[in-house]
Amino acid sequence: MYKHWWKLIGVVSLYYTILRGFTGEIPHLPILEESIRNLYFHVPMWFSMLLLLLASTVYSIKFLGKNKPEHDIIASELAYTGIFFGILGICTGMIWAKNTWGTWWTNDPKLNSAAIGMLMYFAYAILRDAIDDVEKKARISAVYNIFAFPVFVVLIFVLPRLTASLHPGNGGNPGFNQYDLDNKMRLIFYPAVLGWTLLGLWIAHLRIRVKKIEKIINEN
Amino acid sequence: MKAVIAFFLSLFHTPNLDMLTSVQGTVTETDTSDNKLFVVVAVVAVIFTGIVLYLLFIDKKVGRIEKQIHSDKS
Repeated sequence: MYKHWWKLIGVVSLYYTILRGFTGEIPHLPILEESIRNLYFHVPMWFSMLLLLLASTVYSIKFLGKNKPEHDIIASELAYTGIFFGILGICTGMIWAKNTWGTWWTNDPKLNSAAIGMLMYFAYAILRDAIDDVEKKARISAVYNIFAFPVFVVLIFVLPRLTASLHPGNGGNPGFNQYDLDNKMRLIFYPAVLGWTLLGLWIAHLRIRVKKIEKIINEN
Repeated sequence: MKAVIAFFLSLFHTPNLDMLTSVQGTVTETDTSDNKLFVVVAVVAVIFTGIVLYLLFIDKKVGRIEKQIHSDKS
């Protein structure tokens, strides 16, 4: 049990998020109305994705430094889990956009950047699949991963801020800082990010363990 | 320790579940005890519990296979 404490923290955080996310106080804002509660579900998808991809980048750097196959497995599985959260982020964002902006997709800098960023990581997955040689696969994908992450961060956090954007937190459009009850929302938002990230790490951890088993079986 | 537990339990306490919703930034009392929002919370909580149990099940299974492989090697 002592090894599983972080999973427990994640699960408890998410129960808290579900309960308070639906029933907590929210500021009454036009257009957004109750959909502001998506802050606890849509936004943490992106935060978790980013943290998973950051961890993946760290392991890619470690791999290039020490050349341990284990680090390649950890980096790639963290990236795949991050991509999964990114897809969920796009899908949930589209539902929210349809009901507040009136359309599933607009050519907003934030949205297009997120889409380009996701395509970059799809390319990472395809790149890995395309190379048969195990060592080459690990090296090339590690280098790609290390370059992809900063570009992705610039794409979704820097560029949208430089132009006008519908998306909160961009182009003079404030994030949730503006709301009267922002501190109450933070009290749910941060545990939500923690919970979803730990859940993502749990899934990634399972994938890493399965991958290691596969490797041992293939070697024998 | 008791204080810590009490603190965490207090986080889960939702007074507004039965009396508070906010309108225009001010907190007003409305009778939401019969708007059945708690039903949705319960349903989502059950789904989430299912997902967690499923992950636990996979976790155990992977652990078993890991042990098996470990004993095969030695």
